[in-house]
Amino acid sequence: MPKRRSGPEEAKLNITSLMDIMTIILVFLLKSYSTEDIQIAPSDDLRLPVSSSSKPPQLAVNTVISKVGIIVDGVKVVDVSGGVVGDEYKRGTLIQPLFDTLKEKADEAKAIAEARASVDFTGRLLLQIDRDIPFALVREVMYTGGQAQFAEFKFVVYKGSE
Amino acid sequence: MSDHKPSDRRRTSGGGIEEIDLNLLPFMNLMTLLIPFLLASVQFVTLAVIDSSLPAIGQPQPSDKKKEDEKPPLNLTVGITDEGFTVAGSAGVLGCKSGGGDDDKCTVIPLKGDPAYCADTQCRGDSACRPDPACHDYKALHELIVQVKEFDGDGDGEFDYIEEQNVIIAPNADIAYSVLIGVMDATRDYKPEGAPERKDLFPYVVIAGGVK
Repeated sequence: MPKRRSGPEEAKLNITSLMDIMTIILVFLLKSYSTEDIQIAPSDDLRLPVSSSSKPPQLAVNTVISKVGIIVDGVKVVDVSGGVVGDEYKRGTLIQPLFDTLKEKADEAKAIAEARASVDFTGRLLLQIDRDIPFALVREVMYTGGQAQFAEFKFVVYKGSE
Repeated sequence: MSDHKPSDRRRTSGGGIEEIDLNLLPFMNLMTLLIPFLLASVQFVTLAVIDSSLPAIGQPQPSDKKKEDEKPPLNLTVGITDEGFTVAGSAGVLGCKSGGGDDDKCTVIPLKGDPAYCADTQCRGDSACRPDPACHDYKALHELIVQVKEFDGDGDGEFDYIEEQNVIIAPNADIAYSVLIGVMDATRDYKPEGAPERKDLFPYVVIAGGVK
């Protein structure tokens, strides 16, 4: 704590320059403050690719395909290892646990849309996919989403400079 | 010089001026609380989205009204394989045989064996990643797509495919997702020479099953 009272030895700590720094940092942080609808949890298992797209994301069902699993709205649905979902979870191209979860979400959203006239069921799915996931898994997830009546896919990417 | 801030003014030798001793502690408290809170919510990376839709459910075409069938549809298809890109379509510049079909490979863009280019496209500044020795050549693909868009086969002064906005991307099963995003970037828009703004190439993407 800086000494503000002058005692027998006047040792005044001048903190005005510190205040100047803090004010500038505060202004900068206030400028870059933002509230974003979707949350991304950056980790080694989920590294989104960089793209030149500049469309802002909208709120929708959040599906994450990371190196270790598929997570829908924060709940892990099925494991992924080596970029592949185990065959025991699949029925052909459909991933059964994912289909069950997405169907539930679709039914909930449709019930809400029926109850309130101002809300429509958009069938929008936000996909956050790690950049090294092979396309076969992406296709299976898209097919599963389509079967669960989600037809609009939005791939979430980091906005890169172009 | 240190005399200029009000907090610094002290009693001068002339007398009659009170010593101003600003108590900066409350201000400091505010800073200590606000700055960590704002640091926690600062956005260092911006997110964006890319639209797509299933091939069977609704083509995202901007205008459904067709002109009186002047030109056949372009059906621009970009296949992604381990060896590069295969671009097919009915545009003359792609050099396709007439009739189309599965053997109609049209233009093939092979992988580029340039380590510096691969480091740039695959890693994008990420120091932890190790790039492959040869990678997909998005630059050549982009240039080819620009040629297709600016193709004027019938010499009427207008680009033939100015209204075409769809592209079909067909990756192989084992192609990494980042390659797909890179292809979408290469076909979305471009900056014509001397133009101030970017113009659309083929922004509506339909993802097809691919060639196994």
